[in-house]
Amino acid sequence: MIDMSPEIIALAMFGLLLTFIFLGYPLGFSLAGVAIVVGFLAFETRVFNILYSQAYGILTNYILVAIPLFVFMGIMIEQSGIGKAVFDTLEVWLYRLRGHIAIVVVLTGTILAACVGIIAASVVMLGLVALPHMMSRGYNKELASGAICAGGTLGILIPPSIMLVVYGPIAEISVGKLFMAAFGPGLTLSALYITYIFIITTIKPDWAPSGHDEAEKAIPLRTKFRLLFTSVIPVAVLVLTVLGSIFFGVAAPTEAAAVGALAATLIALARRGLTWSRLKEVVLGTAKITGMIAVVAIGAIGFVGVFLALGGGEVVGNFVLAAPGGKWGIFIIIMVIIFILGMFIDWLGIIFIMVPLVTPIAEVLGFHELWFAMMICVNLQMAFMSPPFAVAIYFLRGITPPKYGISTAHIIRGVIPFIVLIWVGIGLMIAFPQIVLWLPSVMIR
Amino acid sequence: MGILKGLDYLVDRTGRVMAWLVVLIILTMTYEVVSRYVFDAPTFWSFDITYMLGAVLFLFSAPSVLLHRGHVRVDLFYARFSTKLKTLIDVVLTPLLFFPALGILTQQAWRAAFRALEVGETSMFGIWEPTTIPLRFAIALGFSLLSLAGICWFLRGILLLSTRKELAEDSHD
Repeated sequence: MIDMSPEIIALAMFGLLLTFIFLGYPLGFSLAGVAIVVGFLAFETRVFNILYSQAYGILTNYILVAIPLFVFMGIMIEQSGIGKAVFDTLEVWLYRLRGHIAIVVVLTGTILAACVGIIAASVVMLGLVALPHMMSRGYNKELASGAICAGGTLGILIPPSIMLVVYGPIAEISVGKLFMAAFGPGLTLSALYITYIFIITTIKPDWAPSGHDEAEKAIPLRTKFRLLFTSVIPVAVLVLTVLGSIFFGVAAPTEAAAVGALAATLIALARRGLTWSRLKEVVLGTAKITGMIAVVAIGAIGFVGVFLALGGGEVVGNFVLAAPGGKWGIFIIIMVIIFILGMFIDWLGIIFIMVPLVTPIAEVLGFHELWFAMMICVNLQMAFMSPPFAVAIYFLRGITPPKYGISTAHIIRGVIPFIVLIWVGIGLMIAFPQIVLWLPSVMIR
Repeated sequence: MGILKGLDYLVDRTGRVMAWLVVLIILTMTYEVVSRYVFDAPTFWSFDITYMLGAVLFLFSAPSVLLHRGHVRVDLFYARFSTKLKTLIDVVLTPLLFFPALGILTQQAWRAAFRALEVGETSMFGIWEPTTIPLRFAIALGFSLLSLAGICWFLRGILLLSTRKELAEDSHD
């Protein structure tokens, strides 16, 4: 064992890691490489078997099998084109509301969040469907792009979210309980967004010109109901079946994910027929994301294993616990660190690396594990939207045609009110922890 | 170059075939849920089969990620680098990070596979306690394939730097 203080080793490991990943080397291989090199210097060949056992452990984790299944479900739903149908239906139903397109964006984001737990997919879908619509009506550019980013990032939080499937085994919390805990925060944020859009468009009507289309008005009620039953209702049934079976303890999350994936396939089949090439696309798309996650997971589990074995856990603990301001001072420090990392590094890396380090600290401080997990997840959701490097902003920027004249600056100004709303949401969850804790407390099992 | 293309093809094909495991997992798990609730006859094998298929799916999905450049990267600076600098970073860091890590993981995976064969290892979770020998060998193959994909990735980078021109490397996308 090399003779160095744990502080120096901890710093060196994170220093090396950050250097490699900021150079742009793939996150998973940077993690695995640092783990093996530092691990070898410290433990010599003993580290080899440890790293393999950890990789084997994470690969054979039963709960994590839910990841490819939920990804499959999400891509299948996306492929089925039901997202656009949900959007169109809600629009037809809510067209009388002020700022209704922006509100429908958030609502569609909320509903789809439940099946498409991938931010890129939601932001892109909402952007493609809703942006042209809002621009042709003369919506305020900031409001339009802010609503799309905010609505699209809800997917990472609202269950069944892939982030929560990863979080559970890492923090040793039941994924089912995490799902139930995320309901309150997800719906709170969604409600805050909608309220904000409603208020701001009432104060500033020119931000969302109403322009009631005669065509929309002329739609008979029967057609409206038909639309509802072919879009919103199937999705709602799908989501409630998946989550309901977990809530009532009928199925494990992994099983619920499999049934959900099959149900999504049936929906796609019923909507526009499932061709062989479309199924192939869903399967290959699933494998792509699964592979991406596998690489990061194997690397991160090795990195964290070596880091903890070298006493890095205590180093981080001592550092954080020395923060002023008692329990809440420490809480703020943890949240700020995670927020800053979340602006640069994919959530996958953060969950795998940071959760094992901060979960014991939260436990020492006496925070409820579910509540604390939700604070981290909401925080990460905010990081995805926070300029200057936010992923949501980049995804939206990537699909915005130049003719709308929407610059990155518009999008950044647009997301700021929504970031403030997330702050409000976090404040509410601190003041009323029941927003998080009520549903899991009444869950069966 | 011909060999490189051939290996790329092998990695790509294997990934495309193994991707279908997700459908198999969906079907076996749905079968379990239906047989448990409709026929009141839970299977004894569902749990083990699921995590075993899951492990193979996870690992065999990884090599094509290298081929299609689908990695999780921090592209804050990387996105602004020239292709040459990007390639240089990958080529310099791969022997430092990727090769040691994947070399060790592959070697350990084969060791564990042969040890499982020797002692007739069985699963420790669940009630079925099936043999883990096929799984251990599948994982060893998976890590080998990932290493192979990494070697191709590295060689393609070297080739790109030495010929200073874009090869047909993006043709897979």
